[in-house]
This record gives sequence, structure tokens and C-alpha cells, in this order.
Amino acid sequence: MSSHEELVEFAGADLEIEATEGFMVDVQVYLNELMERKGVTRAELARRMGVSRARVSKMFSDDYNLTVRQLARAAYHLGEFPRVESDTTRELRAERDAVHRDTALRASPNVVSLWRDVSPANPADVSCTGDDERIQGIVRLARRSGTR
Amino acid sequence: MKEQEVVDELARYGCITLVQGRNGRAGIMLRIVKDWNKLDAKVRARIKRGMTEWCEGRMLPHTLYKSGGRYGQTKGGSTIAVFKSGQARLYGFERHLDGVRTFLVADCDPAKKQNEADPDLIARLKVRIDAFGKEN
Repeated sequence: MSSHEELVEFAGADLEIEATEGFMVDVQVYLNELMERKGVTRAELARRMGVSRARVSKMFSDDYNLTVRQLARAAYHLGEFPRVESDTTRELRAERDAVHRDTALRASPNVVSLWRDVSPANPADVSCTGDDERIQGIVRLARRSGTR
Repeated sequence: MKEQEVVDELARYGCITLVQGRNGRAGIMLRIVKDWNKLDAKVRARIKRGMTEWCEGRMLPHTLYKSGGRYGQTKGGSTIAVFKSGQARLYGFERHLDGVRTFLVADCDPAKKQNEADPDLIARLKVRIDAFGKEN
């Protein structure tokens, strides 16, 4: 078997392990970035959390099973109110935003025509692939017609 | 329809891409693949995720990744870096290849037995990295 085939075989290995260990690493990187960003040492974080420095160091070890509560406390003492984000939460948020946007557009009929004029289906003067480009297209149309 | 073959851009450097991100990629020299596959699945998963975050340009804790320090530099001036998980160490170096920030694993210690890195391995690693530098 070639090295590449061996590696491809590995790629199909236990995805549950990848997801679990990957998330643990992600949490550690998150806490590390927060500490670096805020200039907080492990000793200082330990003091703020009221735990030993060794306990904070353990948060960065391979086998330590950090609880969600401990993670939230550590983040809080680093000045954050952490939230869980994933592909699904982002998707759901985009869907909610789309509903809010449609509601707002329905409430402003003069905007609706512009929004329709500059769309992926009817791109007016720009090639639109997303809302940002549509908005830019609307701004250009508004400038061209002398309105602001 | 014929399936399009995916070409690994690191293949011409004698390496295989492990992970790719917005700000870089990480690969492994072909000669290390066997050692890599022998590592515990948890260790591989942790290191791969660490590499993924490195590729995103994130700041990794020293428990996961360390550059320079006690490992120093090669004669050719490459800084040695290491991805760590448990007792496993994946030693390598950073280089811009085809304009892409790239980390290449050049050696592997599956189970470090002492606090200090194996001096023979580090010596071998330095020679290997400099040889890569001369060829590329």
C-alpha cells in the first residue's frame, strides 16, 4: 500500500474521535487565545477563579475532561460570556435573519423595488452573489439617480 | 465520466497534505506516514486539529505546539517546531512553498521517554530539514 493510500485509509478512521478530541483542542486554543489577548497568565486566571495554578494548567493537558461549567467560569473570568456556535446554529441564525429582513422589506415598499432591481436574477449593474453585493448595488443605483 | 484525480500539491516535495486552511497548510514527509499511522487515534486527532488551528493562524498553547526554544535551529537557519499530544511529538518546520505558509512534519517520536527530546532524533531531524531546504 502506498503512503498516500495509507493516509487516505486513516482519513476514514474514527470520526467520533476526531470530533471529540478536535473539540477539546478547540476549547484549549480558545482559552489560550483569550489569555494571550487579555494578557492574563495562568497564575492570574487561577487567582480569579479561586483555584490552584495546577488546576488551570490541567485545563491544557490532554486527558483532563474540562466540564462545560469550568469552561464557562474560565471564560467569564477572562471577560467573556461564551456561546456555543456550530454550522447548524449559524444556519439557523441566517434563516432567522432572512425572515427579519423580509419582514422589514415588506414594511418598506419603496426599498423593495430597489432590492428586486439589484438581485442575482436581475443584477442591474453588478454581478450579485450575496446580500452585501446587492446592498452595494442599491447604493450605486441610488447615487446614480441622485438620491442618498 | 472519468473521476477527476485530486492532485496533492505537496506531492512534488515528497510530502502529503494533512490539513489545509485559510492561512496555511500542514503536511507530512512520506517517510513519516507509517509512524503517523501507528499513533493512537486520539493523538492523531488532537494533532490534526492543532494543525488545523495553526493553518487558521490561531495562537496555540505551548502544550500543543512549540516553535524554537530548546530545539533551536538547523545549520541552514530553519526553526524547529513541534506538535505535541501525550508523549507523542511530531517535529517539523515552517516554510513558504509556492507562496503558501506550510508546516512540514519531518520526524516523529511516538512515545517520548524522557523530559528532553531525543538528541539523536533532533540531530537526524536537523539534517533532514536542511536537506529538504537544499532540494527545494
